[in-house]
Formats: sequence, C-alpha cells, structure tokens
Amino acid sequence: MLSRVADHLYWLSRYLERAEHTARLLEISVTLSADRTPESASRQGVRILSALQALDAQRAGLVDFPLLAIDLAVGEREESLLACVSHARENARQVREQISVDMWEQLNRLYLRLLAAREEHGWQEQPEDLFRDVRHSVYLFKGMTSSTMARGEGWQYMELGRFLERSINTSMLLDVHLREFHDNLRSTVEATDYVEWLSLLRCCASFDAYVRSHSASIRPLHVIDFLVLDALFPRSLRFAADRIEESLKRLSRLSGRTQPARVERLAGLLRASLQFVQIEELLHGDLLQTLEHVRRQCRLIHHATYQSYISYQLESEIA
Amino acid sequence: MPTAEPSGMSLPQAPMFDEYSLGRACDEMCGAPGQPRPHYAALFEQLGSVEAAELQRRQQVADRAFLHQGITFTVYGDSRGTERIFPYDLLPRIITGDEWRQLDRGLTQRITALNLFLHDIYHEGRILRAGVVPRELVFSCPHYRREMRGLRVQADRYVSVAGTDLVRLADGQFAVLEDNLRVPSGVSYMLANRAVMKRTFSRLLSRYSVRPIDHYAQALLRTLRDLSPQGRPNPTIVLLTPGVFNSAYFEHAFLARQMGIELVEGRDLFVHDNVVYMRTTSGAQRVDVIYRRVDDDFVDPLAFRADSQLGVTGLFNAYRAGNVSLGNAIGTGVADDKAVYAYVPAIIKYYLDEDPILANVETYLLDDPLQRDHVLQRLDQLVVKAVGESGGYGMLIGPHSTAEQRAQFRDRILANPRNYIAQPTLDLSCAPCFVDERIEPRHIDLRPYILAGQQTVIVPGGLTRVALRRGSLVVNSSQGGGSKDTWVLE
Repeated sequence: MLSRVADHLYWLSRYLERAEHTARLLEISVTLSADRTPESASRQGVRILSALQALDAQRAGLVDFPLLAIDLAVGEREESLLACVSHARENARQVREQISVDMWEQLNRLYLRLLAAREEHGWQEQPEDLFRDVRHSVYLFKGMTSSTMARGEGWQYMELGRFLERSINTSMLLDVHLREFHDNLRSTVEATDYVEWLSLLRCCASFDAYVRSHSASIRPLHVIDFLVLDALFPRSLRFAADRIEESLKRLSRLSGRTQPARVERLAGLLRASLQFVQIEELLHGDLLQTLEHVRRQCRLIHHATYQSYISYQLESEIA
Repeated sequence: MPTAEPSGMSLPQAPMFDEYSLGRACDEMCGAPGQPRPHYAALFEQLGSVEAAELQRRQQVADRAFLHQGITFTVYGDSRGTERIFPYDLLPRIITGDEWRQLDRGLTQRITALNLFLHDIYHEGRILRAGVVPRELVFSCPHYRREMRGLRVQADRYVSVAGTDLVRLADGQFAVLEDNLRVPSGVSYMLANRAVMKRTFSRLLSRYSVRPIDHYAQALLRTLRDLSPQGRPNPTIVLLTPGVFNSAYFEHAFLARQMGIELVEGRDLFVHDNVVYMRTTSGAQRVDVIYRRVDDDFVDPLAFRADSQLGVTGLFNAYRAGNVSLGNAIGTGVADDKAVYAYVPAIIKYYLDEDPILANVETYLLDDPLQRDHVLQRLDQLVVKAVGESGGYGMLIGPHSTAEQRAQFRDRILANPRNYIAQPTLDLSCAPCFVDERIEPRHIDLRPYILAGQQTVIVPGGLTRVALRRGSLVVNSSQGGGSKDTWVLE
C-alpha cells in the first residue's frame, strides 16, 4: 500500500473518531444541562473545552450553553464538528479509490448536513438532534466500513487511528474530570455529584455497559476501573491498547517488514501497563500521571509508526 | 448562423414539446416536425405521456446522485469550498448500430494513422520528406518535443487513449472536429451518466437494446498492460494524478478504483538508477507502466518545466532507458495540433493508402496568405481557434462576436498566423433536452474514447456534451455546457 494512502486512511479514521467523541460530549451535556445548576453547567462547559483542548475558546469565555454547543458544532475553529468532518472528508477524497462508494457517500452526506447547519440555524432550537445525527452518521460509516472493507493494511491503519484517538480522548476526559472530582473515590457518590459521574459515563457511551457490570450504584472507584482497565468494553483504555497492539502486529506481518520492532515494543508496553495493574494500585499512585503516560505512549506509537511505514528514509530502502 | 430559432411547425401531440422546433441544424430526434426518427420513436412516445413534474422529480434524483457521489467541481475563489455538480441532462442521446459501426471503423482508422505519423515524425520523417505535411508546421508546433527524437516507445504506441470530438453536421453526417491525443478527460462522466440513467429511466433503457459500456475500465487496464516495458509479465500499473485540486481528480480516483491500481501523485514516486519506484508501507516498489493524467510540461522537472511540483524528478531518463512506459507517450500533442489536423486526411492516405472514413471539418490555415485574406474578410462568419488550446479557450465565434473582439483577433492572427486556424461556424446537431420544465432542442457533440492497445477498442458510446444555453454552440463544461447519456443500439 502507498505510504500516502496509509497516512490518509489513518487520519480519516482519527478525525471521524474525534467528531463522534465531540458530538457525544455536546449531546450529553446539552441533554443533562436541565439537571444542573447554571453554575455547574458552565463548569461542565469548561471541562468540555479542556477535554477537547479548545483552549482559546476557554480564554474567550465561551463556556455557556447553547453558545458553546453552536460554536463547537459549526464554528470557525479546528475543534468543531464541521472542521473534523471536513478534515476526514479531505483525507477520504485523497483515497477515494481505496474506500467503497457507500463509505464516501455517507461521509459526504454528513459533511453536506453540517455545511447546511452552518447556514440555516433551525437546528439550534434542539441542538441535541444534530449531535445525535452526527454520531449516528459516524456509526453508519463505521458499519459500512466494517462490512465492505477487506481486512488488509488499509483497515488496520484505520483501526490504529481510531483507537489511538479514542485512548487520547478518553484519557483527557478522565483527566479533566478527576482534577475536579477527586475526593472520596471509594464511596458511593452523593446526589450532587451523581449527575457528574453519570455524565462522565455517558460521555464515554458506557452507562449501560457499566450498569450491567457494576449495577446502578455509581462508585467512582468502579467507574475509573471500568473506563481504564476493563478488558471487554470497547471504549476503555485497556481495550484500546489491546487493539492498538494487535493492529501493529498485523501491520508488521502484512507489510513483510522486519524492523518495526520499536513500534511493537511501545505498543506492548502500553498494553502491559494497563493489563497487569489493579485499580487499587492506580489509586495509591498518581492517577493523573498514569493518564498522562497513556497519552505519551500514544504519541510515541504514532511517531514510531510513521517512521517505520510512512515517512521513512528512502536511502535506507535502496541498498 | 445556427440557432434554435423557430422555423418549423410546433409538434402537435404533447404540451411538453410546445417549444420544440426544428432549426437549420440536423435534429437527432425528428427528421420533420412531429416525426420522430424510428430509433427515437419509443423515447418520443414516452415523453409524450409523462408529466413535467415527474421529469422534474427524476432530474432531482439525478442531481442528488451526482452531489452525494461528490461528482462535483470546486468553485474557485470561494473560501467556503462550495462545490457544484456538472449539469446533467435527463434525456438520452441515441445512435443507431449502423451509424456506430461506421464511427468505430473511422476512428480506428484515424488513430492507427496518427500513431504511425507520430512514430514517423520522431524518427525518419518520411512524411516530411515526401512533402505531404510541411516540415515547418510540425517543428513549429508548441507540443512538438525534440526530446522524443529517436526515442523508442513501447510497441510504437504513442497514443493509447484518445478522446475524439465528433459533430453531426446539417447533412446528417458525422465529422471529426478535433483529436484529443494528450490527456483526454471526461470518460468518468460517460460512465456516471449511464449509472444515473439506470436509476432514472431503467424501463426505457431495457426496452431499447443499448450496448453496455461498463467494461471500459477493464479495457483500459488491458490497454495499459499492453504497454508493459520489455514485455514484463504482471506489470505494476499506476495512475499519476496532479492531485486533489485538479478538476478531473474525481475521474482519476474513479478510474484507479475501477481498475484496482494505485492512484499516485508525483510525491509518491521516485527514481533510482533509472528505475521508477513508489513509496509503500512495505518499502520501495517498482513501477512499470504509468497512466499519467499530468501534462507533458509537468511530468519531470529535470526534463521539462523546472518549476513543476507535480512531476517526478528523473522520470524522463527512466522512460528514455525503457524501464517504464507512459500512456500516453510524451509529445503526442503535435498530432492534435489544430493546424496539423487539416492534414489528417492526407496522413491517413499516406500511411494506410485508404480514403478517410470520417470527414474533417473544412479548415483554413492562416499562414497561407490566400487563405488568411479569405478568412480576415469573413471573421464575422467563421470560428477562429488557437492551435494549441483546448477546452473552448482562445476561440472567436464570428457570428456571436463584437467588432472589438474581431479586431483583436485580426491583430493576433497577423502577429502569429501559424498559431490560428479558422473553420466555418458549424450547425452542430440538436437533441431534445429537459430545460425549464419543457423539452427543447440543444446543440450537442460527441466524444468517444478510443483505446489503442494490441487491439483498438472503442466502448460503444462516449460523452455527449450539451450546450445548455439556448442557441449556444459551446459545449465545454467551463462555458456553461452539460452532458447526457449516450445510447448506442445493437
């Protein structure tokens, strides 16, 4: 596979994952804002902007709904849904011959929908509908990808991009949450904080799965355990680390290359750090540092992948 | 001057045809007012019984299909990235089997002779010595490439893919308007139009026995495989595109996917020891055949334009060494020069000793003083074209021009007569089109795509381009043209 094609498929997938994540954060925050005091709603606004690293919006004081939601949907900023989907589409356009017609059309429709939302403001009455549509469009795209794409290198680059992005997103979200809610992690949450932990679970699309696994009593300890260490839930950090390692192993085999040992070692380290640790040990140590470590490993894996397969030195190739 | 001014009677049967009148030009559907030709009868009958609202609905289905597939072009200078679709006309253009067989023979004859001509002028130059084509005419052509002198092209096949523009004149006969032998585009619209037709007029399509065109990509792949250097088996074939900002990018991606080959940009390729490689996730992979959709000027900054960002440094040396084939070869533009065009009948006669099956359009060469005087006196009646241009640029359409434009062209012709030719203003034939909720005649042309490999294959049909503005003769998409599906019957 052309290195450039791998690059575009990887970023196509990352940007869509980011769009899905952003849409979900906005949708959940808008829906839950009725259950919050105005003050706690704008604290949630600040947390969303921190989690998405939209720092200039934060500085500009854009923390109140619905202004924040509109700005993050179709505003002129890199973190907006429209920007993410446009980037995804630009990457897809570069590799149109690699993806199925259905995938392209689905992505194109999503793009046109957001473009229309920038011009016509009717949706702002009920913004969660737009966010739900975006999320569903991405699901549909992933479903089409899953049912039409061969499990070759292209697929593995998309998997890699998705799970790296997801790890970074989930760990950032946990990070900003724990900076504010770090007391009494071992007890059951009080009514005032209940909505915040519920919101965290739902922002990770994990409420139903959590309840099935830990019952409806929300304990921060269990929530963190679930989102960081659960081996079976597809949005946990541990699960993502497994997928990242698996994709890199397959990529190495599919490309027939021998030297990618470094990137596989990095992926193995990340996975092991989440596989062989227990929640109690995490709570004894510095939880925020663990989350930062996950993000750093993800960045290293990204760079090592590019060095091995995409932007390698040509001179080393022609011996 | 050919316009669709009413000069015949209105058709009585259906309100849809209220505005349908026959002008001077040949009408594809009707030989006489209200009298459809036999091969149009079924379409005519169906259109007589369908509501305008229903056609409008189908038009929307078609337009949406193009928009969603992203078969669009970007409006330049619009920072918000507005994308527009190319106008598509709902109604098919129909060509009979007998007519097609004649076109097929005529186009095959033409491409065969032109390939022999290209080989000859870049080698011995027999046709120049024989005085059939003037030497200065060839050497003064802007697309003539000295670098190609004596270079051996795989199988002597200079042109593998051609898109020849045909028009039907007032007498009902087809004539060649120009040969596009460099990087002809538009074939994806031919294929996309048919796909949309299947969604909008499927029943009518199956009532007619229309010859399929879906095998185009397969035939193109075989043609490219025939270019494999030194006959290497299983060549690696790639399509070289200028990139996503090129207006034909959709087509490049479309064809690459249909053929299952890599779509590459200049930056994906590199040359080492006169061999071309592409950068893949598995390392460097050798490339054997490049179907390049990049103009001669830009393929190699070392050999041609040094400021090209689109090409591959050293590609021409690899080509010269015979390690890679290009389709089409470099320097084919000399054979579609609009002044060389006037000599194509003589070229056919010279190499094949046959009479041309397809006629040329009468053409005045302006470096001949007699012809030039004749033309300068009649600028208001003639069409003047710059020889190296395409896409409807650099053109004067006499009957639609102002005195000022004519004065400008007179000066330009006198300054550089070799650079211009003149032709009579042609009565391009008309076909029924769905415009403004009515069916009206519009001028059309036809561009079939010719694949010259070990065998010459012409997929039955082509791109029918439509001048959608009433009375307009310009079918180019850059100038308000659209297109429609083309049906060739068994």
